[in-house]
Amino acid sequence: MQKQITMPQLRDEMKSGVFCAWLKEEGQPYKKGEPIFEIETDKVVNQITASEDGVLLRKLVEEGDEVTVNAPVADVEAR
Amino acid sequence: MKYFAVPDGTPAFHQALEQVVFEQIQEDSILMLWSNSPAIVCGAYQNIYQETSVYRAWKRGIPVIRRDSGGGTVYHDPGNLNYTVICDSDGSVNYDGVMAGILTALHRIGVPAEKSKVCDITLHGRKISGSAQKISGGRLLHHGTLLFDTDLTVLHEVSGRSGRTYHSRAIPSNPAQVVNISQYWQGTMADFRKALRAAYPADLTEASLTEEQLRLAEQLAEEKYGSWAWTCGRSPAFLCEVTGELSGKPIQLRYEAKKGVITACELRSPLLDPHAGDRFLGAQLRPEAIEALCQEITDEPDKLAELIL
Repeated sequence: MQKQITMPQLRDEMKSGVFCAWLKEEGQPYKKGEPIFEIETDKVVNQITASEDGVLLRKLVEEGDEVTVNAPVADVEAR
Repeated sequence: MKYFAVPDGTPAFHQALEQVVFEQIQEDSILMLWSNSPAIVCGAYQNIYQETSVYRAWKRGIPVIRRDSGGGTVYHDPGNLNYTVICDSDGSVNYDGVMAGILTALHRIGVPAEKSKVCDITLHGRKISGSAQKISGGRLLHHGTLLFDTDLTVLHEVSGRSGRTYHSRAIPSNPAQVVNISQYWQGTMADFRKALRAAYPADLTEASLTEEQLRLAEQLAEEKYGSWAWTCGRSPAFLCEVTGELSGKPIQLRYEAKKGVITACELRSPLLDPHAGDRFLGAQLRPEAIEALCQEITDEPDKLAELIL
């Protein structure tokens, strides 16, 4: 099933975060718990991990982008 | 909570050791207190060239290190005490929980420190500590500086850059007025470290790192934290514009760099060939490489190299 991964909210005051790095490439499968990307907010580098097995289909943001909380960052295929 | 004594080592080794402890020791919360020889330490996704003069640091023999956590650039020297706290995390930003421990310890030894902004600590309104975190795999790494009797003259000399403009997507530092704790607390750095350690909760137990963990840290120090590719090559693409003076004449410099390599460069000075900038195309932004290129075109290579780097 196709889904979107979104920018998480890591504290109540957080409105957006810097999308720092992709840790997976388009077409690459991943397992639940594996880190998919890194964001930075409030001096915290946070590795965001997969909540279920899947495949990264399409990156929707670039490294360095400031991304609003809950905005989509990737299309994925959940398995 | 476990307390790990940190062995002496280079600034790169200490960053590596912190990563090894963070990734390898998954149980219990951890405290470490440690100091470095002088080093400039920038955040994981900062433009290192925007944060400090890499050339000036090189001339002074001060290494520039990129750490794994977020935040801005800090200066370490033997007068600065670093503290590291590692604990479980639910993935959310949590400074208050971790900083409560260090603030309580500071209060117990008579330092009336206060939390400021999201993750700074101030003493009588001036910053004595900055901190940053990394969250990964359900664990949180928090580290902070404690300016005890740091050489603030050097700190100011190596912090920030003036007379130049950078365009990049990097996360810049937020400069702050700082003060040393020793201005308000009597005793040596050894006393301070001992007092802080003793002020932590009574359930703090001593633990040791294994030979294998120390060996891994040495390897990581060399391959990652001591490498140009990690430290400089990881800087985001940027455009730098500088105006200055060279041999008594004005000079304008404008260059672009990607992954620490110059991809476009213009140098405008009445003393230089109009195509002088072309010599720098493809050059890595390494002090020794830039200085050698500057020697080819000016009698003041140090000055030009510092304008670039």
